[in-house]
Amino acid sequence: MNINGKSILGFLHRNYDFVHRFFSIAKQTNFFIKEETLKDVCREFEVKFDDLKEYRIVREQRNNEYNLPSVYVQFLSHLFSDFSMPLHESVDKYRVSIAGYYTQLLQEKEHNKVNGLINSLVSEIEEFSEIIENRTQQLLKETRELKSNVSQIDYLEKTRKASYWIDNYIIPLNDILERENPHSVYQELTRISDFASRQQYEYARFEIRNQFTTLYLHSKSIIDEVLKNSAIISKELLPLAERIKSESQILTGAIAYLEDIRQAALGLKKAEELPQIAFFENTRLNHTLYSESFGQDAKFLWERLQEDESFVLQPTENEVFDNWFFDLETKNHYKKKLIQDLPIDNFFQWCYTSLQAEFQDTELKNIDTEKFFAVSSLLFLDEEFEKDFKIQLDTVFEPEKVEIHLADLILEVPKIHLKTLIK
Amino acid sequence: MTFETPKNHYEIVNDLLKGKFILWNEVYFDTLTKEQDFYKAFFKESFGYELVLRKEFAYLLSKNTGEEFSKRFTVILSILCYEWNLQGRDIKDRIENGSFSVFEIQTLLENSTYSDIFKLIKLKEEGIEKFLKELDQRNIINLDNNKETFEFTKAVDLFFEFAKEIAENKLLSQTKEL
Repeated sequence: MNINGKSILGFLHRNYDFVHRFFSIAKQTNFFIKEETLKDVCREFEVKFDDLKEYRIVREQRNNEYNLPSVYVQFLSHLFSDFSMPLHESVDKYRVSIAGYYTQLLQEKEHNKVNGLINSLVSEIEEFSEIIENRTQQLLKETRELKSNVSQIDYLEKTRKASYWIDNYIIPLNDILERENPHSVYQELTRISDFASRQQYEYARFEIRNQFTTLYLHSKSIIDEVLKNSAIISKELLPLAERIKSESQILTGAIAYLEDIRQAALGLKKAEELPQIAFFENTRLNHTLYSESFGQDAKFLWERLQEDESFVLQPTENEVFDNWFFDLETKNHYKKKLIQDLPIDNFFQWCYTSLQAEFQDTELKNIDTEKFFAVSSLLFLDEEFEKDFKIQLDTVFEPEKVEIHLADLILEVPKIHLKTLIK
Repeated sequence: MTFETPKNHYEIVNDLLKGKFILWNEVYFDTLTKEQDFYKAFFKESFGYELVLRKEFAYLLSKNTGEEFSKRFTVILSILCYEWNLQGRDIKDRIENGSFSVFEIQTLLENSTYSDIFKLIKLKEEGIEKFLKELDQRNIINLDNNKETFEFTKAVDLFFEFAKEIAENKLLSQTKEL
């Protein structure tokens, strides 16, 4: 088999779908794949397993494993826009190495070495720029997938994933790019670009001055890249990830709470164990307080108790004990009578006559003011009549006056006509 | 000894004891902020309650675990969050910026997967309207004049914090199990 660049690319081209699937599976296990799995994928796409080895697309490891060489990892990641995300340190090492080369460059006097250091810096900056671009895009892609939840993971897992990305990838990446952070790559690149900008005119040798110009232009353009990616992270990626985290947390909490309530209802959990939101209950304080008139009432009672002799009111001979009260029963009796007698031509006369009728068979013949006023209070009980009898009373005052002769008083009262109000 | 109180003392004490949230845009909030040392001590010494004063609202903290009002509120909001998420809505954004129809809320609660839990909190007799009215009196929501729609106030932040706390605890307990 003739193995060269053209035939390798031809193989990849002919088996593009296979390569894509193989890449996705291998990526999950850090590009190490079991022989068995690899053979299964080959069978599925009808690709000869031995061809993979021939083209050196896979490299045999011990214990029946194969790995994808890093050159293919980089190339295929780029091809499929699907980048793995090694830990933050793999990005940070570029910041350290860029700073290291720059320090050396500042001190180096030998022209050849200066030339070499500039070349190293340019390629290091280039690699770094590619990595942050890929990483930002990859994080955005995965965060959006997490948001739409294509893998149908539960909210707790979603919270965990979003928190992990924020803490381990997004924030560290942001720190490395952040303009305000004195140790960021941004600051380092600015120093390099300033230095190169001066050296492109000042350096003694012409060809190295040209090298400095390249370094200057390159670092300038990467600074723009850094700022662009930094803006994507802080304006889009971080808020999106924070939002996913917060939403998933709220949902996790809400669902867990509802499940707890269900368990408590089923007796599987004690009510006291339920989490409790810290609100304040309306206290509805029942203060036991004392009335303002309490002092006067007490004084009055105290004075009565202080009196030396007790006294009892006794009825005199032939006196009839009057125990008439306008209590609820009496009141209802008069209310019913009033309704029955409607319309009433002269209300006060009706009061007097009604009382007379009640007492005609008793020894109490005298109708006094107390009884009369009690019964006439019916005039002011509109609401009670409405409630008890569903009736509205209409009161008409007439100019004519009438005299009522009570036992203890002669009253001159207006003639009042009382009837049912017709709506 | 003369007893001097800050302005609107009566209203502040009454509102807070009724379980009302005093919001940042209310007249008394300034007094409460300026006199926070006095009020913190006042509620602690007089009733044994803790006054919580935050940037956007103030309230008294309950230590009573049998409190029904909070339970009802949490159940209702939890069900709504669950349902809104099923509808694909951004729940926090929706709660913070949306306006809700009382009818829509009632329908969602009654037809939810969690409707059995909604029934458990025994709102049926008094109805959701009455409960919403209480939430309105406590400044947790703002009911409009015709009582048909409402919005949540900043006090709803406490619910989000509560839910997040439960989630954090759940994550922690799962991590321990692993």
